[in-house]
This record gives sequence, structure tokens and C-alpha cells, in this order.
Amino acid sequence: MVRLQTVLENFEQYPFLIQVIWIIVVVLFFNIIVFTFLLKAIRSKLRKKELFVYNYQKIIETSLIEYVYNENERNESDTLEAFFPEIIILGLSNQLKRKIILAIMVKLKSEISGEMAKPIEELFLKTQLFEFSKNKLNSEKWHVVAIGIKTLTIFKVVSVSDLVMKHVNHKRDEVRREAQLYFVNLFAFEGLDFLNKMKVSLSEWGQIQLLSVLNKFENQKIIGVENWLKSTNISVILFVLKLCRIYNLFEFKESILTLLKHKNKEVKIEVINLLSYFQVYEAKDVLKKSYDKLSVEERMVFFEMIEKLPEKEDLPFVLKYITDNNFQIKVSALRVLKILDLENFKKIETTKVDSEYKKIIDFVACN
Amino acid sequence: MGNNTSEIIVFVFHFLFIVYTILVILSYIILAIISAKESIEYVNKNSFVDYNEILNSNVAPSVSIIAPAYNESLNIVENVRSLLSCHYVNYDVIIVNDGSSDDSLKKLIKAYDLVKINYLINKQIQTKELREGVFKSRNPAFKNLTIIDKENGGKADALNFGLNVSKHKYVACIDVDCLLLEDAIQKMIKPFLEATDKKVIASGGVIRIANACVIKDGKLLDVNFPKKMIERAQILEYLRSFLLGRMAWSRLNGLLIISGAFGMFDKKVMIDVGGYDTTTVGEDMEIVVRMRKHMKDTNVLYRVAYIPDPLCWTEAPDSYKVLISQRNRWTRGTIETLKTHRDIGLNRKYKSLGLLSYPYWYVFERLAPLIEILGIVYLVFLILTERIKWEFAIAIFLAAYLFTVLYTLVAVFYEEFTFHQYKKKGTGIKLVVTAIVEPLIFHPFILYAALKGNIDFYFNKNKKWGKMTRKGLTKMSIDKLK
Repeated sequence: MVRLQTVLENFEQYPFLIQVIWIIVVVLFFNIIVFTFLLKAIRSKLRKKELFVYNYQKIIETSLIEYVYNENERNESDTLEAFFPEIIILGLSNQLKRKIILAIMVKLKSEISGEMAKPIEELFLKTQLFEFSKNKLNSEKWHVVAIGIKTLTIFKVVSVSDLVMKHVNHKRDEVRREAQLYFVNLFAFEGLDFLNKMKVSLSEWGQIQLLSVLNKFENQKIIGVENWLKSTNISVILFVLKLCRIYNLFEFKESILTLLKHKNKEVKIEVINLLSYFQVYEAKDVLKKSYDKLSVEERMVFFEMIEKLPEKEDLPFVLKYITDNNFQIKVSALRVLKILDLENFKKIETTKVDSEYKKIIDFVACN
Repeated sequence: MGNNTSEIIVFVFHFLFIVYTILVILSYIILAIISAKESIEYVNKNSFVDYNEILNSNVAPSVSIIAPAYNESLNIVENVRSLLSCHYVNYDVIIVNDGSSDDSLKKLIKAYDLVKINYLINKQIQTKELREGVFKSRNPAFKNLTIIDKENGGKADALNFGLNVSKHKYVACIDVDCLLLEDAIQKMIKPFLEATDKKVIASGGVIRIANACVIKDGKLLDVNFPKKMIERAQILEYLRSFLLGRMAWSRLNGLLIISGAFGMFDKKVMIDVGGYDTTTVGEDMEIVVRMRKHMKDTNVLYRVAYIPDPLCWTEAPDSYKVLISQRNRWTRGTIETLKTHRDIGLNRKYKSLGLLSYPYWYVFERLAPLIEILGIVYLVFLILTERIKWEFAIAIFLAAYLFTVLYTLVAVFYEEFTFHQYKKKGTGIKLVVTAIVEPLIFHPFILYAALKGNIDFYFNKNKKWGKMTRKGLTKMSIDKLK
């Protein structure tokens, strides 16, 4: 006690700065003690939680599988507890348990299909799970909204489409994506209607996800392509060009051809690639005429196009570029020359050129 | 020198040290807060992401994994196998054997049934010449593998060769001895594909330490906390750096470095800036700074992304000799990069890059070890001239030390709340003990290495990479199993 008093008396005699630093030292020291105990508590809690999740998952999975396979033994007049597994009904009031139940239901739903999946959908719609997910759409937290939409998509809840539509132009890309996936998952190609209302860009990640979902549908009737190709939203055009390629929408050839004059470089590159894929020979003439105005990247894909669709008429044009400064254009031009006029190519092969150019010629000659 | 003058000098020194200390502490606190926000956002963002779509998509963009190898004979076959087992739909692996003097190439030819092929290389970046040539496998199972055997030119030169050979839009540059988790490519490419308003030019991954972990057939089976203090200390150091520092800088779009061990880049931008600089030992930092500068100069909105998931595991030095050599190189790399791009510093044209990232790196990374050494010299001077106020010196030492320990514990907390990799019972207390002793027994070596790096930079210009002896992840793992 006396010692503490001496320390305090000495402390009071220190200059203000030293006093402050000593106070900081004490605060830091106690913080470290608190953090150490907190760390122990958190690690222990996390371990317990992991164990609980593991065991609870097993129980729920077994219970849900039993429920799916015993569908015929239930009556419509049964109470909720009698109709659905009791352990699930009891678990719904707890946030963690509800999360686990939902995760298992989603997993099972992806593993089974058709009639077998119906009891799972029924369980979702008739219990609080539906309301919980629906309420998430009004959350202020963007990720909660996204999770809500995703869940409603998985359980194919059509009745909330108006609520989901509100999020198509959400400020967060993640929410927008989930909303778009909702419409495409539930309404297939008709769900692409949201493209007409898109005010923001559709990311490449989002496009891949949409195309992956669309791939599941057999009915491939796409309405609106013509309009989308004229969209002011570049990402919409790029997405639709991908659609045209995947679903061989050759009937839109004329509209696609007009896009060769589009201002955006990325669009033009995609269009050249697509027309090359569709083997639209007349595109070459358009591009030859505007060649000087094309960017290097556009010129490169154009030469790839000529490589894929070579014609005798291309020869005078190609000959101009066999010594182009751009490596790829030069290689492409030589390749086309080899295809269209082998004799001329052989002549070049025997002429004296620098070693780097010779390497290219030799490579083209052998491949 | 009169008494008054020396008193003034002492006062100025006191003042400068206190201001510097306060700034360091404040910057760390601010970074920790920003990092917490970013971590929460990242966890939320990834709580509902489905990677299956990209796994099965035929429109997913193509990626080349470029891995330079120099005398990696010990584990090269297993390491390549690990790279070939990535879960991604459209990628290839380019191994650049950079003039190895061992039997790496022979082993690869045998293991993957390789044959020499005729390959036309677009030399967009100047590199050393091919030695044995380009090899592809006859086995269709390894059709994605390309092996290049070239003259020795260093890591940067090997990466540049890989860039010349790659035909894909994105490249992942990695150290061949790193272990990539199967989902690494999907996760790293995501920011590039999500970008709508700003072009993503690079994405950096977290590097985790694999010492003591169990690895089999190129797969990470069990994460363990190592026994050696030097390895434990590095784990905490990496947690601090990756989970607190880089996470925060990523939110501020101010990342100046993407670890050479694993990063993904937009190939076109890399080639536009001329590829890796072969004259520096800090090529990983230098290229990021140059790419950022290029984007600013060309007025393109851009971002450098960061993925905090533990996707890439590497072997950390387990001897102080190797550690000092590694840190010496890192120091020289930092100095070289900051010196090369000094025109960025405080240049308003480069906005946050010039006004925030560069000055931060200069003052708190490049100058920090020098100021620390100066502080020690000053302390000795005060003791010798009997000017020292012990109650002040002890208090400031304790405050700095305790703050370091607390900051490390915060990093451990972030780890627990996010990726929780060190799950085993008893590891928690080991983490705390390491956090307590690390500043006292590990930090002095880091300080020494940084000082040596400075000396070598100014007085030993010929010094290059230095030797990094590795046991190899597979070998370490076998030792562990024994």
C-alpha cells in the first residue's frame, strides 16, 4: 500500500508528457490482457460452433432425407409439426439453426429434381423460411438483400417478382446480379426483359452467370435481340453478342453487321469475332474499307477473320501487310498468303530477309 | 558547441521522434480500422457467391499461369502437378526453366512425356534467348502444360518470357514452389470480371506460410502452427501485413505491391508497360507501380484488387541467415522502386498514388528502419552524455512495445473472425506468446537485414538476389508426417 502511494506520488511529479505515456502503457497492457482472454474465448466459441454445425448438419440432413422419402405418409390436415420434421420446425426460431437448415435444403434441392424436390419447396413455402427470406428484400444491408433474392431464386418463388424487380438497378452490383439471376432462373429467356431497364453496366461475371443459367433451358425463344443490339448500354450489347454466338442467332446478321460501325472498340472486336464465327464474308469488305480507322486490336481480329475466311479477292489487301509492324498481323497475313498463293509465299521464303522475319516465314511454312 | 545549442538539438530530436512515433501509431490504427471495414465487406460479399457458373462456362476468360523455375529439381514435378490441378475451365501453365544447372528439365521431360515443338514467339518484351527450346506433352492429359527452357536471366526475365509466350488475356505470375489452392484462379479472376466502372489491372493474393503444414500430392491437407520461433514470427508478420496493411490499402486503391509469389495481371497492360524490370530485385513491386503510373498517364480509371483468402502457401525461411538475405533483398527492392519512380511522390497528378501511397511507403516503410537505427544511436548518445530521462525512455519503449503486441493481436483477431486457419487447440496461446516475444527476438534481425539492405544498395551495387535455400513443401510435409 505504501509502495503504491510512493509510486503515485512520484508519478504526480513527472512532466505531463511522461504521465500521458505511462497512462498509455497501462491502457495498452490491460488491453493486451483483455485481448488474450477474449482470443481464448473466441477460439473456444468458434471450435464449439464448428462442432455444433457439423453435428446439427448431420441431424438435419438425415431428417430432411427421411421427410422427402416419406411424402406419401402425410395428410394435408396434419399440423405443421406433424407435417414437417419437428426438429426443423423447432430449429427455425434460431438464427444459426435456420441458416444450417436452409443450407441443407439448398444442397438437397440441387441434388434432387422434379417431384422429389417438391417436399423441400413445400417446406420452404409453408414455414417461416419463406417470410424470413422475403423480409430480407427490405433489409438496409445490401448483402442481406442479395442473400434473400438468392434463396427465393433457389426455391423458385415467383410471387415476389415485383419486389425483386425493384433491385434490378440497385447501387450494388452483387444485388443487381442476384436480381437478374432471379428473373432468368424463373422466367428463362423471357426473364431477360430486365435488359430493357438496365441503367448500369452488366459485369462480365454477371454475364457468365446469366449464360450459365440460360444454358439449362430447352425453350430457347429469345425476344428482344434486335432492340438490345441497339442499346445505349455497351454491356447489354456485349452480352447479347455472346447470346447470338451461343444460340447461333444468325438471323440477326444484318443488325450485327451495322455494329461494325459502332463507336466502342470492345463492341467492334466482339462483332468481328462473331461475324467470323458466322462466316459472314461480306463483313470483310466493310472492314477493308475502314481498315485505316481501326485500332490495332480491331485490325488483329480482322486478320484472324481473314485467316478463317480466306478468298482470292483478299490477296491484294493481304499482300500489303505481310511486312506489317505488328507481329500478329504479319503472321496472319503470311498465313493467308500461304493458303491463297503458295507460289508467291515460296518466293518470299527464298528471298533474303532479316533473321526474325525468316523465323516467322519458316514457322508459317511448317505449320 | 555551447550547452544551449546542444539542448536545442536534443529538443529537436525529441520532438521529431515523438512526431514520427505518433504518426506511425496513428497510421497503423487508421489502417486497422479501414481493414476491418474491408474485411467485413469482403466476408459479406463472399457469403453468397457461387463459383460453379464460372467453372463450367465456355465464355470464361483465359488465364496463363506463369511460373519461373531455377534449380527446382527437388520438387518441380510435384509443383507442376499442383499447378495443373487448378479448378478453372480455361487456363494453361507455362513453366519457364531459367537456365537451371540441375536436372529440372530432364525430370519434367520424363514425368510429363514432353517433346520439343516448333513455337513462334512474339518478342514483345526483350528477353534472354531460348536454350533447349519449347516443350509440350504428348499426353493429352497435360495438354495445358508448356515448358520453356531458356538461358538464365533472372526471375523477371523468365516472367517476361512467359508473357511473350502466353496467348491468354490474363496471367497469373507465381513462384513455382508455392502451393496454390484449387480454387485460386477462380477467386483471383473474379475482380477482373466484376469490374464495370474501373478497369482492374491486377489482383494480389495473400501469401500464407506452409512450414509445418501437411501437404500431399500438391494439396494442403492440414494447417499447423510451426515449432520454430523464426517461422512462427513470420506467420504473425504475414498476418499483420496481409490482413491489416494490404487489406486497407486495397480499400484505398493504394496497393503498391503484389507479392511476387502470387498475383494475377491484365497481360495487355503488362506488355504495354514493357513487362518486368530485369534490373531490380524488387520486380514485383516495381511493375505494379509502373502499371499504376501508366494508367494514370493514359487517363484510364483503374483499380488494383486484393483477395484476402488464403489461396497461396509458401515456404518461409527457417534460418536467420536465409531470412536476412530475403529481407535484405526486399529492402533493396523497395528502395530501388521508390527511387526509380520518385517523380510520383507528392505529385498531384497521381492523386492518391502520389499523395498517399508513395509518401506512406517512403516514410513508414523505406525510412522506418533507418529512423529506428537513428533512434538507437540517439539513445546511446543520451546515455553516454547522461541526458537520459529513464522514466521517459522506459515509458516510450514500453508504449511502443505494447502497441506492437496489441497490433499483432488485432491481426490475429481478424484472422480468427475471417479465415480461422489455425484451428487447433493450444495454438491460441502460442500465437499470443509469439506476439509477445516477436518484437524482442525476431524484430532485431529484420532491422539488421533492412540496414544491411540499405548498405548493400548504396555500397554494394553488384549484389543481386542472394541465395534462398528451400527444403521444398513436399519434403517439409513428409518430415512432419514422420
